Amino acid sequence: MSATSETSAKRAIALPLHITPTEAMHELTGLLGKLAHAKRLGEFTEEELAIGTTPADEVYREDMVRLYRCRPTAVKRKGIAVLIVYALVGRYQMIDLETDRSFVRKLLAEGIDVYYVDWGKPTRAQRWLTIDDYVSGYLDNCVDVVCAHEGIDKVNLMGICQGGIFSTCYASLFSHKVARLMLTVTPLDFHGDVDAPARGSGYMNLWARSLSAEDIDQLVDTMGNSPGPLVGFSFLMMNPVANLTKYSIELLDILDDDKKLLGFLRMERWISDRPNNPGEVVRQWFKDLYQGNKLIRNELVLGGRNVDLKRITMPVLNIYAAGDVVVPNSCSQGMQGRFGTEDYTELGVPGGHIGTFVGGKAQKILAPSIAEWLTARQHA
Amino acid sequence: MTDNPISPYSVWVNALAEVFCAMVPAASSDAGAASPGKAAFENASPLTSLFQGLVPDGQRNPSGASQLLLGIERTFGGLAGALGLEPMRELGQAWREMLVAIAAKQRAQVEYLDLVAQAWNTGTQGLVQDLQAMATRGERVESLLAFIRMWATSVEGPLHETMQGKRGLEVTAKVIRASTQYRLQSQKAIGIVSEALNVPTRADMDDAFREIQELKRELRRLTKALPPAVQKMSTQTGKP
Repeated sequence: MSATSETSAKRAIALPLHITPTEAMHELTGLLGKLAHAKRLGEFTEEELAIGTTPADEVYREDMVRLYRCRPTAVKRKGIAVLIVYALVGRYQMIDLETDRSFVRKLLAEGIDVYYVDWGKPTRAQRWLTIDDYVSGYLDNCVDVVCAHEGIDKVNLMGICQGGIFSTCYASLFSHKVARLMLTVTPLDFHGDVDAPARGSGYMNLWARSLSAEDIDQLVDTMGNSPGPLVGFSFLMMNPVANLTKYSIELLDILDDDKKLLGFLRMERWISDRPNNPGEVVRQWFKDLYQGNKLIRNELVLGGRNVDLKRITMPVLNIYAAGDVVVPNSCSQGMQGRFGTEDYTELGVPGGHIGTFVGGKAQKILAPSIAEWLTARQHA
Repeated sequence: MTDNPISPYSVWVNALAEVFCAMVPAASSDAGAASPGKAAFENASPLTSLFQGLVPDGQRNPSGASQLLLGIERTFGGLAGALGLEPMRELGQAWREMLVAIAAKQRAQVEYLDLVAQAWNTGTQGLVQDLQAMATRGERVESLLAFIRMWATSVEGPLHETMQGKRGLEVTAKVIRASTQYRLQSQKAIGIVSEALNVPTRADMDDAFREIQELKRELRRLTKALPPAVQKMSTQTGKP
């Protein structure tokens, strides 16, 4: 035996793999046994797979945008209404994924009246919509409708991720119409991660900064709208190996558990339902925010008007997810002093970017904290 | 055509010589620089070899069959135009540019896959080291599924590190640029066909949608300028 093969033999012996053929076959048989339950995939009804099921009424529509008002469930209501603004990159149903994992239901249970915006699915015709069209157009109209419905002059605005940026811009440009601003997992400082890089975190930030402004222009010019599936794919590529096991052994593992399987399928239904993003929004989002970081520098201009964070003088609640790898904490945390308000609160919740709204631990904290924060400022 | 001092005759002779030479398999001049995986992929790809022979790619094949096409175009192109086949000439040119873009995209994708494979390899080496450390501690892996999960954890780290690193971001950007360029060339070809058939082009549609959007913006501005009572009536029209 040569020296090399002796070394190889020693290394092989040193490995602690004690998987006997019998045990491996036993495990494989177990998995194959679970495969028999795969027929359940075709047996679930549309009602069982439905997401966003909290009863709600459409109160306004404009183009593809809809504004809904959830039907109150609490016996004792606080007389506080919240308008939730979700991101464009996913659908609003994330805040109402399942009956027992619904952020909306939890807010309703706290006695809060809930309105939410469904941005819909932009078509080819909406290719030229800008961030300003969303903020000063659709969102402003939705705010007016909520005010009219509730008989109020100002709304409690809550933005999620990209919706948080829209809400921040709105609160700056229309500060007279916002009573309180709540931000969740919102990347206010797009360059916050530059000095705090973390493996597996903030890939979108790095990727966007690695492109030139000309690259972004050419991307938008050739694509028009940014296809939803492409956005979905880029999210998948943030954790490629984890997704590989998620759709193979992890899925096999839960095939015989209806509750877990339904949870998985509902989440997948949400994940795969990615709307296209209007080209001009994408252009501005990448160039002005990911690359230029103009919001935090008070340099962002929408419709010819400067978005100045110092004009945000209403109370601000900024919620970040401790394990967020989509929006690194360094991009969403530590915003004290950036706004024009003295009443700034920061709250960290356990879980990741999406886990904030569907995770068990975060769910116990999120809605009650928001209700408490709002109640404390109700008559202020 | 004054941009090339070579006479049409010599273009034809050189092109024919290149075509005959290309029939004899020869090692690519830059094959040594590529990684084994990349070279194998490129050699095995019928598209790559086909395109490299047909399209004007200065770096790989300065003359070759592309010169032959160029010669035909120079000799007979004007005649085709006179017969009303100008769109066909334009389409032919667009098609050749698209082939170049496809080849460039394919090369960028190979480079990307090569990098992913390297990260994958690093991760697997890390798994072996982890297993050896476990053995030293007297721990054992007795489950196949546990082993697969260990592997996944080991590979994920290096993959993140590689793709978030300078080279990973560069290669990703290269794929994006090449894909965009290919899309641009495809749109150009489709635009020529649309023009020829008097069908609205992508640019026509974009212009129309842009005008509609600008009108909507103007309408919004005018509505907001109205007194609140009238504005309220306008908002109510948005009721379902």
